[in-house]
Amino acid sequence: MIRRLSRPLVIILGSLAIAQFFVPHQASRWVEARLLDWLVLLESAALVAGILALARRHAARISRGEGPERALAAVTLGAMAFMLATGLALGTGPGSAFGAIYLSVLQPIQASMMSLLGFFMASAVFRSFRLTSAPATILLVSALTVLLARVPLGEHLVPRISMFSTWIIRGPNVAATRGLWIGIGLAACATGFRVILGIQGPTGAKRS
Amino acid sequence: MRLDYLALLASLTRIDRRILYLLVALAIVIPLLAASGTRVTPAAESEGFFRAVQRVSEGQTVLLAADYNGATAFELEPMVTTLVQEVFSRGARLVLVCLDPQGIGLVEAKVQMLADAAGKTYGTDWVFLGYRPSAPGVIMSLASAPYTVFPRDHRGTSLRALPLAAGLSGHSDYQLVAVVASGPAAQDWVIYGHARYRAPIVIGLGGGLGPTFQGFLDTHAIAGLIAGLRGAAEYEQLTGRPGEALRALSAQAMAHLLLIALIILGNAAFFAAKWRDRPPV
Repeated sequence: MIRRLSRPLVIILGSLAIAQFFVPHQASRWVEARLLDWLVLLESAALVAGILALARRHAARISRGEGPERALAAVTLGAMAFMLATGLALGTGPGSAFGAIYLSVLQPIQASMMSLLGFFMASAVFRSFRLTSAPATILLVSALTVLLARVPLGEHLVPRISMFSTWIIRGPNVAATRGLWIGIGLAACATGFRVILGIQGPTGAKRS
Repeated sequence: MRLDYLALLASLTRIDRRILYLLVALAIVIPLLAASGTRVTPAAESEGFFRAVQRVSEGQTVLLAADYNGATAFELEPMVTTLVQEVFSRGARLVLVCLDPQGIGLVEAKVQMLADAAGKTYGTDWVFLGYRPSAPGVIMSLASAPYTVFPRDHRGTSLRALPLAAGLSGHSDYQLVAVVASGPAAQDWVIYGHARYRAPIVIGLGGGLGPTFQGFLDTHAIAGLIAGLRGAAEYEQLTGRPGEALRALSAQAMAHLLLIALIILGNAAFFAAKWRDRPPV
């Protein structure tokens, strides 16, 4: 029954969502507000579903897994439960225990993970960024130019380096990015129409 | 003798990665410890960002979407700091929203500190709406019906009870929409917000995303753009508020110079090894 209803629902709601961009009527605004409400509600529900799925997956790992896998799953679930309990019991505002744990534990962990990228990048550019072909040479010269222009010393070392860097960013880069955006936009429109017309399911599966 | 140099250069291809890691650490730590500030030449897009904020005057409202987390705070937080200081110093009011659930605590703590330093009152001079899922839905709802998507602020107070938020009606409330984001939320603000808000949009991004948004400047979808630590430093310099970004830029510049040297050295070692191992003629 739900499966049978889903196709007309998608067609009606999808058409309404598109129509409100072109119909500046009060009724259209009302429909738009309701659709947006539902969008936020559905994504909130998806967030809860995601958390539950994560908890279920890690609970299964604890019951079936071995060694480090079991320990890591336990740490994940324990941390989730602890933060949930702290937030619910003591609040989440500035100065709360939840906020203090976030600022002194999670934030430094995230920053450390990000900063590790710099070390791996240095190793990667030394070992892999090689002049092995014409495209690789273009990429390497562009990267060197943009990198040098971003350094305050760059202009002193190579006069007018900023001019070349700006040209690379505003010229070829913008052209390629626009091409990508146009491609993404057209593909999104095509997929949207296929879903609305019932040719394709929202998950990408072709309907029989 | 020449061959010895070649062998030495070729041997660099087998250099221990820990030496490279040590070089990176030194390139970053030494300039930070030296605390040497630096000066930069602001790019046109940074000046656009600066001018858009300068046009905000006393009593007007700025919508700030601060969508970043601990991983990207090092380059985005200096942007928020300077922007909020500028907004408060101009006597403007601030409506703050966060579309990254991992950044809520970080953003609120930072703006609270800046507001306290500027002597601004919560509810009258600034308000934090908090987080809601679905960036496109929130962006569009905020422009048409803010009370529907945010009936209460992040602290649980009814929005209608706060003097600043009581008069909000949607897209025409703001003189400027400023987005400081590390992820795809910035794209959502341009795509869904550009046509809906009757205010210029300015964007602050992580350095890696900057080039992707250059096209939006040419089409005037955004009024200004600051990208990465360099963009943050340019904005600090334009506002005359030297801060964390200008201080950290010398470390980043040194790391960039090291990367350039490693690229050149890596290629030299690669070709030296190739020359050394060439088949005899």
